[in-house]
Amino acid sequence: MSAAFQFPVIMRALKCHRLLSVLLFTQVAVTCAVVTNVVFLIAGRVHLMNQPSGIDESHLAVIESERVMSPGASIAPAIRGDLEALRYIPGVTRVAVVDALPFGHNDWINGFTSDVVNQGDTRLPMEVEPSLINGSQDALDVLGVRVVRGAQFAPQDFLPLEASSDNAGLQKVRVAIVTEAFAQRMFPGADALGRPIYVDGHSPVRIIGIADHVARPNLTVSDDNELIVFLPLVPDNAKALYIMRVDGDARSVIEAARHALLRVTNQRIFHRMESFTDLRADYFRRDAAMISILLAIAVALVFVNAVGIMGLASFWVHRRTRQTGVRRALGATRLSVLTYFLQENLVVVGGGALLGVVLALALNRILMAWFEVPHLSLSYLPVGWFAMILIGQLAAFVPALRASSVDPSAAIRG
Amino acid sequence: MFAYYMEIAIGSLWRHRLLSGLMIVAMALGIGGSMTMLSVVHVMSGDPLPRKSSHLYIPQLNPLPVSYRNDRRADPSDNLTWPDAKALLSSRKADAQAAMAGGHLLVTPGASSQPFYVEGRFVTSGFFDLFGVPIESGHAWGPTDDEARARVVVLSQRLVSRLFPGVSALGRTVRLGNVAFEVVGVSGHFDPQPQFYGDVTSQPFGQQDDYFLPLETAIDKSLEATGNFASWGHRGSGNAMTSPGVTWLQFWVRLENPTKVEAYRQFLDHYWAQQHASGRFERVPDAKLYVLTDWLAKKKVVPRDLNLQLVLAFAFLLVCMANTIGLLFAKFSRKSGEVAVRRALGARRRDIVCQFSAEAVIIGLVGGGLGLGIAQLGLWTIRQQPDDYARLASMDGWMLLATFVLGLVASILAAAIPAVRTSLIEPALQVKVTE
Repeated sequence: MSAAFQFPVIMRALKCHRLLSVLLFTQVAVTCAVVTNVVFLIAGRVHLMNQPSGIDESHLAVIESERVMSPGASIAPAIRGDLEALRYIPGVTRVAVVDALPFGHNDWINGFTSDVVNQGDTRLPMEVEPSLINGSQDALDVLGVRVVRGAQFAPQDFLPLEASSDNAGLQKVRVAIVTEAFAQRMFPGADALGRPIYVDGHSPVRIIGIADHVARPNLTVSDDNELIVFLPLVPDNAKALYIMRVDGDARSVIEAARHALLRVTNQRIFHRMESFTDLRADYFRRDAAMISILLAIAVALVFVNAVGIMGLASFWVHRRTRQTGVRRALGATRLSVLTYFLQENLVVVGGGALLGVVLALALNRILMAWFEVPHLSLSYLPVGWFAMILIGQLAAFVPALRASSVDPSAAIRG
Repeated sequence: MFAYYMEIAIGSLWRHRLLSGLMIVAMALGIGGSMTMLSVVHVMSGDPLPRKSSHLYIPQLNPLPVSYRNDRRADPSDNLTWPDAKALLSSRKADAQAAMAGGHLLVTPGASSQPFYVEGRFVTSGFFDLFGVPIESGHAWGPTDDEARARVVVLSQRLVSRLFPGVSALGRTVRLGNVAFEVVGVSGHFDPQPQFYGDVTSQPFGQQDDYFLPLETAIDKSLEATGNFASWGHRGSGNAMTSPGVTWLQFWVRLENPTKVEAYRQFLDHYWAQQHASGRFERVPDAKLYVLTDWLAKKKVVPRDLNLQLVLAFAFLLVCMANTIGLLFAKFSRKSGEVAVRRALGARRRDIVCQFSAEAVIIGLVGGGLGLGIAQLGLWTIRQQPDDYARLASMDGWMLLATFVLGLVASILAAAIPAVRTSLIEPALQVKVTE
């Protein structure tokens, strides 16, 4: 007997064990559908978690502090005092205050246009809604944002944000540094450097510098995640985000910084005290948890499936000990017996996985209707199919090997 | 006979250690996964106030204009306006009633310590009797304090031990949202989960109130309330909290028998009809009165994701069972000779089924036990998650019992098909073939 594909024989053999074949076939199909989708979801989450922040993440410490002050008291000098206290902590090289950070949640999204918008305009200019990051003089430097073209802010560019008067500073600021993504969106195919953009469609701000990558405080859809505008506005909200560039481990200065700020005044609430690395991990905690849950589901399903395939293969091998003996007695080689059982497995698992591929597409549609799940990328389908076959072949190998070692004399012993 | 079957079963399982082990692990994974999800859903759909909940009702009026378009997830007609709440309160038609709203307030303990935020509730005096909030020391306040807008507060034991460690809090002053309140009472343990009496559309799980202060005082001082504020026809001037065009208050009543429930329903419709006649309510009377558990079901406090995960977990258990069926088939089929001999010696089909089911029972019990461990691990993992319901994830006695029952039922079901198939072996034929 040759090791060639013996499809009709296999089909006849499977028909004899209809119930078990159907059971295995369905199980493989379901597993293939679920695992393909699960792996696709994991890949999506991993991609999301790899979003670059665009800042120098190591050696950066973050403290969010809310000052409790009597009504009417001015917050700006209080923030300057806090910065002064943080500057002298051993290990801290530079400090700044900002009002938002990549992955920091607090998000101020404001509309900008490429031209002035007048009432009654019928043709509207391009409008982009970036997240604003405002900071004191050293903010970009402390963050480690790479300004790849143009200039940095000059000291005379900085103005107070005037948070208490409805962020009036936003209407007075004259220059901005924007991300490459924002520049491309606002002026597609043109150089944005030196051009004006308009806050809320009226007050002009000139783009003086372009930064490469910076992520939003809250990620949304992937093409929008790097729309950022930096403005030279010094934050003066009661809640201030202090950032510190540190020599060595960022966590090591947190305790000292807490004490330093409490020495200034204890009439404050700390909303956040951590290294930027921890802040980032915190932002993606849910995704990380989801990845491990999905991974556990995938591994458990594949494991259970492999166990099932193995069990059924050994059942079949055992049931056909006599036939195998007959074949061996009639001259079949060990190899051809081995390949016969592996081919049988290939037919059931390959067929089941093929149905699984169709089910995977259907499951993806269902998930899309219920959750924010993107279209299943088609490249996952052949990979999933092939992986199922590989798992099936591996699981069936040991029983098939046992079959191949059946002695020809089994034919007469029964 | 049973002991004998058990002995055979254990011997047989031991002979095929690897196969038995795989079956047990497969069952344990299935049971562990589904019990983890079942426990979470069980805890979350549990009764937040056992023994009291069946008498607690939430009345629903709809003062919104017909033209009001709601594009948010929260329904503004879930809550009442202050004038309507006040009218229902002063009618005193229920056995107990209270209006309430959540409050997120800054606590300023003084120059020597750091300020912080606490969650608590602005309530009318009936609140404590309505829900049976225990007062450990001191007392709650009465209706006269409500009207006098008294600056009194009942603190939780948790907040007291933070603010006044080691000393009595009664009579002391605490500054909440920049208003000085006198501590008149300390409440005992009161932590219904979900926090059904708050705005359940935002975060009903994992919240606990640390203070209770008079609602009218909060309105008087314009303390910031949390939850859904929905307004229509209210223009800037005047206190939004007392406007007839702003819904923001939750209102609960206790009705001790069906007659009273019916009477209260009629009262609500009557009140609505009056408001409709006066032109304030545009809609025709259609008052609703939900009992606590129906209200939670209506507001779908158990997240949909969780129900989906539960279904998936049970689907996974089915896959595991399908596996065990296959593996048991494989196993029993090797014993066809043995079965044939037993049948030939006079064993009935029933005996054969019993003998093989004994093996399944053992697999089920061991798999269930192992599954229990997996479920505990799963619940521990969930408790580490940042979700607001995560800390509740644990197993009670019922769930422990359910795990074993599930393990037994699942494995017996999984064993039934192969056991019956095996018992169908014809004695003579098999004897002839095998020997």
